[in-house]
Amino acid sequence: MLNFLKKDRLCPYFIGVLMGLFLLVLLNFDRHLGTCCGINKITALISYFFAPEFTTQSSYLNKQLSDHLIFNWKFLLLVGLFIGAKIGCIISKDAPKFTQTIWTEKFGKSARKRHLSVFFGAIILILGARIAGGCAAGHGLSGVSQQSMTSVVFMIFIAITGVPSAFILYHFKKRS
Amino acid sequence: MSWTIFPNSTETFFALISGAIFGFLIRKATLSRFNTMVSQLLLKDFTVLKVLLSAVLTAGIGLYLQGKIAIKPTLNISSMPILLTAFGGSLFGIGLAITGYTPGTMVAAIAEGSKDAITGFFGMIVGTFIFNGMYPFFSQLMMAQDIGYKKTMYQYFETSELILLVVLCLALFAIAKSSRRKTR
Repeated sequence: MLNFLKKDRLCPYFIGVLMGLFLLVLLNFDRHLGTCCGINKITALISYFFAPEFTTQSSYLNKQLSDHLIFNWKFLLLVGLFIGAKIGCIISKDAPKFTQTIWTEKFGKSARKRHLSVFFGAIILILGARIAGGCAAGHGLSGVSQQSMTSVVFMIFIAITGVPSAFILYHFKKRS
Repeated sequence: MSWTIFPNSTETFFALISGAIFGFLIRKATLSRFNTMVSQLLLKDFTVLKVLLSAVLTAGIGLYLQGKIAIKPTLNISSMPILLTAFGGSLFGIGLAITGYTPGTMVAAIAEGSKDAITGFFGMIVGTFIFNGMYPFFSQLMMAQDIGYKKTMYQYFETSELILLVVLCLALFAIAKSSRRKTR
C-alpha cells in the first residue's frame, strides 16, 4: 500500500473518484470547497495590517474581514492544501526535477520572463475568478457536481479562451 | 476590531484535514504541474479532464442517489449572473494558459517547490486588490438576477437530473477510449 502511495503519479480516474467522494462528504456538511476565497482573506488581512483605514473603507476587502476571524474555514483549507501537497511530495519517489518543459521549449529558460508572465497571468486569473464568483475548484468541482448552470457556463468559457490561448502561446514552435 | 484567531477546534481540524486531502490528491494527480495543465489545454494529455470528470460524476451521481433516498443536502448554487460568469471564465482561461495554474493548484505548486508559483501567488494578491478597486463597478452588476440565478441545469432546461450526468459520462468514456488507443 505504501509503495502504491509512493508513486509520483497515481491513476487519474482513481484520484477523481476519491475527490468526488470527499466532495460529497463536504457538501453534506454544508462546507465549501473553494480556493480563491482563502486568497481574498489573505489579501484583506495583509491590507488591514498595513492600512487598516483603507481596508475598512473598501467595501470588498472589509466584507472579507466581517467575520472577525483570522483563520476562517477558507484560509485553513488553503493551509491544509499546502500541507497535503507537501506530504504528497515528500512521500513521492521518482518525481521529475523539471516540469515546465512546454514553457522552456518555447520561451527559453529565462527566469525573469517566466516570473513576469506568471505575475501578470495570475492577475488575469484571479480577476476572472472574482468576476465569475468562484474558481476551478469552487465552480468546476462543487458547482458542476451540483449541476449549477453558472458553473457549467464558467467551465465552457475557460475552454473557449484557454484552449486557443494555449495553442497561440505554446503550439507553434519557436522560429530559430 | 476585535479578532479571534481560530474558529472552534472541530472546524479548524476539519478544514485542515479537508485541505490536506484535497492538496494530497491534487499533487498525486500531478495537477499542480505546469506541463499537466497546459497539455490539457493543448489537448495532448487529458489528465485534468479525467480527474475532473471522474470527481464530478462521482459527486453528481452521489447527490442524485441521495436525492432518491430523500437525504439530499442543501445545494450551494452560485447567484452570479451568467454574463459575468462567462466573462470571468474567459479571463480565467487566458490566465490559466499563461500561468499553467489555477488558484488552488498554485498553492500545491508552491508546496511542490515551483518558485514561479510563489510569484503567481503574489500576483493573485495584487489581482485581488485590483478587483477591490473595481468592485464598485461590478457590485451592481453582480446583484442582477438573470436567467441563471441559482438555477441548476435540470431546473432551467426542465429535464431529468440525469441528462448532464449521462453527457459527462459519455465524455469520460470517449476520453478514456481515445487514451487507451493512443497507448497501445
